[in-house]
Amino acid sequence: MGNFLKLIQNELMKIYCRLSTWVMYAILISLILVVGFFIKFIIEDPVNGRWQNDMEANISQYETIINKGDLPVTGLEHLQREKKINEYRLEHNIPPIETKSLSGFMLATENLISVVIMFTIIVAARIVAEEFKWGTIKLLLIRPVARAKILLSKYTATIIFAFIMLVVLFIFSISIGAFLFGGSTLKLPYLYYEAGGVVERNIVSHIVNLYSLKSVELLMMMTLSFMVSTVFRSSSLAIGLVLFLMFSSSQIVQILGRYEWVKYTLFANTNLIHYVEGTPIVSGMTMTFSIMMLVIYFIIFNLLSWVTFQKRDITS
Amino acid sequence: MKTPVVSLVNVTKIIKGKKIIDNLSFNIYPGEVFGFLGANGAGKTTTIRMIVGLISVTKGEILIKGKNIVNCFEAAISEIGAIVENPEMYQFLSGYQNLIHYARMVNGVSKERIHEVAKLVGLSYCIHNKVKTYSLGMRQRLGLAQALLHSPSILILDEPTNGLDPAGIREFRNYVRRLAREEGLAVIVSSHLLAEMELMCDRIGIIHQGKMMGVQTVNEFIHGKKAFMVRFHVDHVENAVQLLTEQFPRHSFHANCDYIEVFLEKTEVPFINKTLVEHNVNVYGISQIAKSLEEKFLEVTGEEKIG
Repeated sequence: MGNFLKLIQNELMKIYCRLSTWVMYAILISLILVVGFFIKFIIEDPVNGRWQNDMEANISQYETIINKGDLPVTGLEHLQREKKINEYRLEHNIPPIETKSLSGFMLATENLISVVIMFTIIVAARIVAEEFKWGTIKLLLIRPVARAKILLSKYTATIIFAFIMLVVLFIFSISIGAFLFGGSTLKLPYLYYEAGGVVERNIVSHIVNLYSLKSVELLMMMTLSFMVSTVFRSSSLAIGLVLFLMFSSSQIVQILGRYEWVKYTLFANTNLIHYVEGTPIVSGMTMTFSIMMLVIYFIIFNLLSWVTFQKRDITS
Repeated sequence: MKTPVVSLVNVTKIIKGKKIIDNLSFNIYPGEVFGFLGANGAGKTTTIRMIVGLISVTKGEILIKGKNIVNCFEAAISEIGAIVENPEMYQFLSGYQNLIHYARMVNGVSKERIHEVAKLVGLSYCIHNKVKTYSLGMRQRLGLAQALLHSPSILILDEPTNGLDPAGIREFRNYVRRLAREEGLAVIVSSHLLAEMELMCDRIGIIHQGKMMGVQTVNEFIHGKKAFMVRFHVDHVENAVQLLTEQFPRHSFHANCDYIEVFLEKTEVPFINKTLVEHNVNVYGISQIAKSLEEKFLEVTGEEKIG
């Protein structure tokens, strides 16, 4: 075990001694700042009125649309939920979360997890393929360490990189947010709809939940990139392919949404947030189904990585 | 007889149906420098990669101190330090970080040992600089340092003098010889540079098209068994040849402008000399003409003409 920790230490050293890694952190932190300044200074202040009036306006607007009755089922369900939540706010006197608040800001920067995923894909793509590109793989594999262990240390180091980046995103968001907007709004609960009723939830726990759900997508993208990188020994192929799939997948899945088999594809299942807020891509899909599919893909990707790495003749 | 530290037994490697290495067998003993000689593409690097477990063995077995490199990889590879082709290191790390990196992968390499090895290869003064600032020679030394880090009993150097300047090569050669002599390391050096091998190695194995053409000590290799070419520097070359041909009809003497060449056994040399002196031929010098390794190599591998 001590031995394995040293291997991880090696991999982390190779990640963090590179300038490009620090450029990634710089980009992430700048993006948080940009979002912060945009919300603080560019978005107009809300008209000072009673929020209750807005809620009432929303509810009557939802009712008109629902009564028209020309919406698809999923859209209808969505509006009905929104309506219930707005009614709940009026009933219990809970104002909505303002964009120009710490909570609103945290919910905005949560979207930057996609950037973290992107950077993790890059790191995962490089961690194996570049050893081949540099020729250092030869010196790496003539040590008294099993190949499987070396690959596992690389995989673990990538997870650690991703985790640290998520923590950085969270901490910088909350501190920059608190600095720009003050921390008072964190007391307001987040409302969501579950099992036929509206539920209150602590906003911080909601955001942590969003982070962890997105981490599932992160882990899957990372594993895919790691697999492509290990099997094809090309970091650019891994980065290109996985980023392309990541950015185009939601459209592709939307287009193919009417086919039943789409639900068995990887990208129909990666976005678990669908199940918490909103509706699944293919109706009838559940969280359990998606998690099962993800576990299957996860095992396949890792098997491919480990088996090819184990068997490969190092001739480069 | 010493027990071999590296032992190849009928090793064959087939890649995509093509026999790259064909039934190769040889032993390497502690304290010797073994030269592995062959043209580019003869199978040197493939063999070395099999010995260090980078590629699989199709048939036969490779034993490192009795441990099979395939089945007992970790135990076997612990005995080996190697540079495989160019010593490619992590450019963005310092020399020291590179050594730390490899030190973490074995047990029992202390910080002191890292500094000791850095000093040994003469990199102490720049060990904390990034490898990308190193010259080729410095990288070669760093490569040697990582191979020696865990005090292996076998050192494998694939084309080690590539890119070294003549002074560097000489230094390197002396260092390798010292390791073998004083520390009892078995050293395997592969090269296509014949002159280099002649100076560095105790024994030489020639590999040609994946087959071992023979393993010999350097002396045997160059001088053959008993007979060798001897050159007599004399005056009156024509007369002398005539005289010798009459006296020693079994030999054929070749005349040149101021010397005679003949293929002789050692014991015959004084008789020839005596005959010459007795017949008033002045002998200015007698020398043994060693065949260069190059000639021998071409003889063994069969010279392939270009065009």
